[in-house]
Amino acid sequence: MNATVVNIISSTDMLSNFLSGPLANISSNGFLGVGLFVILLALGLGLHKLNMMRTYRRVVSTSKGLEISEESLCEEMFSRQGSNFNAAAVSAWILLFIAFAYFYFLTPSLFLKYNYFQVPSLASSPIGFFLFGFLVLLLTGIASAFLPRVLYSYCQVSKREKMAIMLAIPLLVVSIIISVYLGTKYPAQEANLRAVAFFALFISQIALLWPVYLEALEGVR
Amino acid sequence: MRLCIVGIGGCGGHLAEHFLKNEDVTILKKSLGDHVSFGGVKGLWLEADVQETDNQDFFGSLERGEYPGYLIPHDVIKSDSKASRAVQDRYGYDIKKQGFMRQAEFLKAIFEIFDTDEVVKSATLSEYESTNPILRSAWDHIRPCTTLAGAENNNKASELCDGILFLISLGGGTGTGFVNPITGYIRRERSAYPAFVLAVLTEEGVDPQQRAKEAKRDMGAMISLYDLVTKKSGIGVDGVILVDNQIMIEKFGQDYPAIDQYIYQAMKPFVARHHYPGENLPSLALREKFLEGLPQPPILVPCYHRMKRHNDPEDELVKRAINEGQLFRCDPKMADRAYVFTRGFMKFDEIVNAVAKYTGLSRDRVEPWRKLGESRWDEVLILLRNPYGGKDKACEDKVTLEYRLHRTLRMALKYMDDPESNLIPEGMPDKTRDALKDYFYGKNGIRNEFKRSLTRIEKGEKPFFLNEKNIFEDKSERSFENNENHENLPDDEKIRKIVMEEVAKILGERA
Repeated sequence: MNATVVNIISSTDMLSNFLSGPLANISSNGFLGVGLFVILLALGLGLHKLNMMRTYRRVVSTSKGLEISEESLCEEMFSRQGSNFNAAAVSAWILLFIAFAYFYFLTPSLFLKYNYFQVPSLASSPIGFFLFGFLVLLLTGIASAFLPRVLYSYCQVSKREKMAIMLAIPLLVVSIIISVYLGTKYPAQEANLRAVAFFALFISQIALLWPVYLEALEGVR
Repeated sequence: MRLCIVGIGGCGGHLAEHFLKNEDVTILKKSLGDHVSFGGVKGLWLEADVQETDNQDFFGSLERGEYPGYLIPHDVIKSDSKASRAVQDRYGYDIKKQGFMRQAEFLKAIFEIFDTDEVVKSATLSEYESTNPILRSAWDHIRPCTTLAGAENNNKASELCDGILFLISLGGGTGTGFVNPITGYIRRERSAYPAFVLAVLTEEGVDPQQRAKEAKRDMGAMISLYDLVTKKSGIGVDGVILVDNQIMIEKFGQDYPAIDQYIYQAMKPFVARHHYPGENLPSLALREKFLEGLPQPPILVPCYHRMKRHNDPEDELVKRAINEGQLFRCDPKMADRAYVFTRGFMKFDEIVNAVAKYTGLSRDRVEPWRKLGESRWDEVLILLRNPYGGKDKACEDKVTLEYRLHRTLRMALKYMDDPESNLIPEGMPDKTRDALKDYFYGKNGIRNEFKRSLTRIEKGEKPFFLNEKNIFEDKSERSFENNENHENLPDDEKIRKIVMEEVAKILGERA
């Protein structure tokens, strides 16, 4: 019994140390966090392109003398992942961008000059948070609808990966709720909660891009 | 190529479950969107036993519009049906019987009655607007999945199936009994619509589930296989892919889900999409390839292997598939064609060379189709066409197809000769008793045909099943045969010889 209590206490301490340690450092550094987000996204898109090129090269190298166009290969590679998954993936990408915007640009704590509070009419509106999110949705809507089709229609997405992408939705909702809560409390700060929101955002982004990374990794092996 | 998967009977249902599982995510097993299966396949499960359908939760009722669904075709017959009464009174068969315990001849007889008996036909027609409502009901549920349905019901033509793959076990139950009548029925509507069968021959010894003796199951298996491969091209199926459960048992023990999973995995290169550009083969073309130069549907033996991706995998993959991955033992050197389905990055010429090397076939008899594979894996499925015959006493060699089929045929004959078998049950009307007696033990009955087949196998002749056999002959055909004095007609061999001589003569004259 005592040993169990000690274990629980030490696990809680470890989590607390983790949240207030390296994770808090990254999550409280706006430029580092945004840079990481952009790099992960760009890496995903870049690797997707490389995966497609590698497949094309392999098909061409095993088709001696045959002319194969990239379009015809893309047509053959296209797979339907299912409408449940597509809906979940589009929702997850929309939420990812909204969670990202809420986390970095809702309060001046990370970017002093570029944030929601810099637009007084929006910040003073009773539905200001919602309008801010809606604006992000409009700005990133096309990308959110387009990215899942580009990233998942030409690679193998296992059911586990699909589930992970689907589970990113509640994780992103948690991140958004925490960001909104922190925005409401501002200027009061809560480093641990911020770290949790950052962690949820970061893990979700990895889950959304994982099929592409995995395909690239397996291609290299 | 996009296939409609039709599992028939218990084994067919279990196999179909693997092919038809949804690749989309679901919450609490409920899907709000379309069902997405591997290779874009669609399909259903035909079963005769209500209890079997209750003991599973994968298939829903097609009658209630659920997908993937099961159908009990004979449910279409009402309890107070006149047609049912006519069959019962005239032939002694209860067509509402639940399940068919290892009696391949039961369903065969019933469907032949619907086809041949004018009284039953007219009673059925007046009641159901079809002369064979059981098969009509099954076909009505398969048809919408196929390209034959066209743009009906707002179907997207590109998502419809251009061929059917029946999944059955040759254990003498529903699958064994149903496959021939249903394919015969489809053929009457569309003689060129591609239909293939994946048939699992049950293992040696007593079946642990239903405790059915091997000899009894083997008789059902042989009756069904005999029917499958003796129908002429365009009347029967277009190819019978044989799997021996004995090999699977040796590999996986009695772990039937693992066996089903392996068979599904082995068939993936066949049903997969994502072809190499320009190598997308329609089912119709595959049908032509399977039947090329054959008067009867071929037996196809699958050989499968998969391994981690590496450079130039063709030789090793093919070698292992042929030597270690046979799903029905055979001598690959006896095959007259090889159809190769690969997944992964492989060179066309290298595949042809490797298959030619390990089968002894000339390069023009090897037909590869390449598909893009899964990450990290390369796999190959080789379908060897009719890999038997040509060798005297090959049936004594354990690694030949002849050995297994010779044993199965002997067991079937043993069962027929066993007085306890009761193949002609007491209490049946004389008409049925005479027909069954004639079918089993008549001069040209199935017993003598099996004996002739045994001799042909022993001599290494090909094919070893020759003449189609019916329990209830069509009266119109019978009268025609009598008028023509059928007894005096030359046998098949003589006809073949005469035709060959005439063809040689014509070709000689032309030259």
